[in-house]
Amino acid sequence: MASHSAAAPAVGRPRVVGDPWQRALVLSYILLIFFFIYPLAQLFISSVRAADGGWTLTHFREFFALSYYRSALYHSLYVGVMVTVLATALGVPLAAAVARWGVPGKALLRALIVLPLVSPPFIGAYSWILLLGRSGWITQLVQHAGLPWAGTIYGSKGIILALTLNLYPFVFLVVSASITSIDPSLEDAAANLGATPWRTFRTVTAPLLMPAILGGALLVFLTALADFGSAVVIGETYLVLPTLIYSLFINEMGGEPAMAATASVVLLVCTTAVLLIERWYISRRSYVMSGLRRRGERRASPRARAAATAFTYGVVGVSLIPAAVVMLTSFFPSSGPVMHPGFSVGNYLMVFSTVPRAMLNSLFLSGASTLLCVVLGVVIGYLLVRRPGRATGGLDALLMVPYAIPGTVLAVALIRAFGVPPLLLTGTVAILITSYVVRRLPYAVRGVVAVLHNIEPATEEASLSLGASPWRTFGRVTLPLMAPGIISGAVMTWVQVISEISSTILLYYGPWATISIVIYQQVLSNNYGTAAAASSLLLLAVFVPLLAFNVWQGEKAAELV
Amino acid sequence: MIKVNTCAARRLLAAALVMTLGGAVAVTGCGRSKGGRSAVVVYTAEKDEIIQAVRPLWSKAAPGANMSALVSGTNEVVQRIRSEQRRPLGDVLWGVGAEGIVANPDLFEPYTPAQAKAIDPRWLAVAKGEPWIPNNVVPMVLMYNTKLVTASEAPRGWRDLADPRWKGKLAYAAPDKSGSAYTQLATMVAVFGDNDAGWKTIERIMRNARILQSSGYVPKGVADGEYHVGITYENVAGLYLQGGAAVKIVYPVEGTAVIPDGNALIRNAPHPEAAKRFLDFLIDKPVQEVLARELAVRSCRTDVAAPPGLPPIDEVKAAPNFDFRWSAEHRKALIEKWQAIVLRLPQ
Repeated sequence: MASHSAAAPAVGRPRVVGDPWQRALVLSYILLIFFFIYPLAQLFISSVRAADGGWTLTHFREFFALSYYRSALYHSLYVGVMVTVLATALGVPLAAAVARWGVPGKALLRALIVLPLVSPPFIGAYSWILLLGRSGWITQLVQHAGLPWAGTIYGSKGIILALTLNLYPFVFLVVSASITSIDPSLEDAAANLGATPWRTFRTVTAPLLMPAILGGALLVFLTALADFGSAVVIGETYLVLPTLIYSLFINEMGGEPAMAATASVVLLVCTTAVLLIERWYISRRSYVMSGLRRRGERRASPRARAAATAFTYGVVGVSLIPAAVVMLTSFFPSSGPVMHPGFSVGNYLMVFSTVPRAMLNSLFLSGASTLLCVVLGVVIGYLLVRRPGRATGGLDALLMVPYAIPGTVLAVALIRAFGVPPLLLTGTVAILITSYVVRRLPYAVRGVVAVLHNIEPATEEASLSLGASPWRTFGRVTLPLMAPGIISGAVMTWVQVISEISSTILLYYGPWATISIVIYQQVLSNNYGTAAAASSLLLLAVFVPLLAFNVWQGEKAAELV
Repeated sequence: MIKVNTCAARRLLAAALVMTLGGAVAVTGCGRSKGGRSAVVVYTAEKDEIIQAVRPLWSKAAPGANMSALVSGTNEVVQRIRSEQRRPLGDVLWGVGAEGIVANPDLFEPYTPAQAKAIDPRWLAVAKGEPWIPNNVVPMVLMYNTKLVTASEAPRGWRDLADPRWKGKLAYAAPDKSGSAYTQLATMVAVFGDNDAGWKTIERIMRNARILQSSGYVPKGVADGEYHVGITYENVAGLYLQGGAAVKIVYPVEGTAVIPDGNALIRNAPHPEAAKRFLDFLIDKPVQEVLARELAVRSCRTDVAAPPGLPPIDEVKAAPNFDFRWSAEHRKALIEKWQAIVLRLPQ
């Protein structure tokens, strides 16, 4: 392929005859249509099908006529917006503090910040009830101290609290990747021209970071909108769309698939609208840099540094509370579903027969899915930014589809599409990987897109005009520039896949139970002690490799600077 | 500086590769499950301890016949069987609420196990004409937290739940999401009557209730002290009781629904012979005795004693008007009435 492309040397603008990216575009479309659209088509069509086989909009009319459904939509949008605003307000300053203000212990911090994304099924959210529920530990402390306890954790407040602290790492990861690629000479120029630090930030840094901030915020919004676990555990009577879709679709008593499809389409319309707004905003103000120089840390005053450190460790500390509670309770002796005070490793012994194998499964599945996501994400992300147009715009919109579909519904669609010849995937490991890649690809793409928006095409054009083939240019020039985005996308994909439960539960078979399946089974058996033990091992399995990677990369970086 | 990031990307790729390959080697090394014609694939909503207890008994009863269990909630298990309808991967459905089987008769094949006559005729009658076999028996019960409610304050039956003093303190799972919660709603309809007065009482109960999204959170919330009283079922409440939680079980004075959990043969099961053997095995007396004695599973057989600490089934008053079949047939109507009530309530 490379030699073929080289035969028609590319000059000037990258859009040239024989552009290999055209082929990549076609291939991406084929993959997306085959693995996303084809399985889901049946579902979407059922939302506009009447019982007699004709076409109808009654399901949509019913959806908007009944306050039962409408209120779920309002609740979802309210939670989504609040979580996005709060997570962005936490994530952006945090990324700036870690990248710029010399906060100590970076390798550790970067590994810790990612941990809240690994919310073990149902256990993570349950920690908040243990702390702040009506008989929670903190609630009781406050009441013993004679202070009035305002309100309860249940309902929208609790969901917003849990999701904000669960999802702000998305903003942190995407924005951090982008901050490191900001050309320092731009800020220095502003400062030399007499701009105050605030003015420099407002007029130079913030606009450059905007694609990343919006990219991270978009991920938070979409994930919050699709959240099921926290809403089920903490929502109590507060019904949101994913809980509604789940109960309409996955119901032992025979659900209402058409209504579930309708609710999914409504969710899809919301996500697509938000995506279009983001694209419109970015297309209006696009700033690029040569990107060849990277920003080091600022020399901050000790006071500023102390403040940044306190803020960073404060936020990270609070967001790790659920993980800490899980680890703590994993050492409580338990008999059946009841945990007693004390110390014991009994919970760990109970899960010892299943956990090692499940952990290997999880590492293998998340590793393989992440690899696939990264490769596809780089190609698609590059197409979206560098070859804008109708065809790539459509690709971007297609990518949003899996967001609006709860994992369980996607799993059912996959079983129905690939459970019969010609392509038999059920009962194989391929169907698990397919579902992970389909659902997590947008994260990898967003990571790449956010960084690529700031990189000037001129660098690539220079390489092309010097005679390098498009692939060589991509591999030697573009790819290295995208590296921070690729890494942040890969980390987001990996941690999310490793704790995935909703589609795994329908797709795994025989020996392929993952660690999240083990946790979920213990939760189902009401064994919160053993579930906490398995969850702690999962958290450790995510934390240790991340820390090792950060330390390894950090030292290397220090040598080269 | 760019080099740093190239290195980082390469390193990440290398790390991912190592993990993937390492995982693949380890996973293949562990060996795939021994398949073969005698293997049986069981889809179940049973608790982990029950599966662990049954596993060694099965390998003794059928040496060499590997049992592979896929465990999840009743909702997911049934949905999975439905999705795989055109190419079933599972053989047996084990230990799920009978509501879930009765609502999906097309997914299962009728099978009568060898020892069917040992099953209490009351439960056989419930399953008559339907493609399932009673496995264990589950009375619907109330449960209260003894730290928050004294024995004299505790509700004695369904009607007591309508007392305004339980406002915000009563936990109940949404009957449109949970099969057991639906049976509890149908029980209340049977007790109070399917008429205006009856539904008025149910509305007063719903005014007090916190509607939870999953039935598992009811006993857990009561044991944790999040709620004072909960509407739940005996075998899960029994586990909290045995585990030493500060809870007590109440068998409603008006009577309650007693429903068998069921097993069923999945239609077009890939291993039908092993499946039938497993279905026979599940109602064997020794198996039922172990589960009753050690895991508080109330047997469907007449010749196995009630689990320790739980009353014999004949002492549990059955709701005189509750009929399982009527309840299954009127599900849509009852759920709609319930939803209308809940929508009227202030959130």
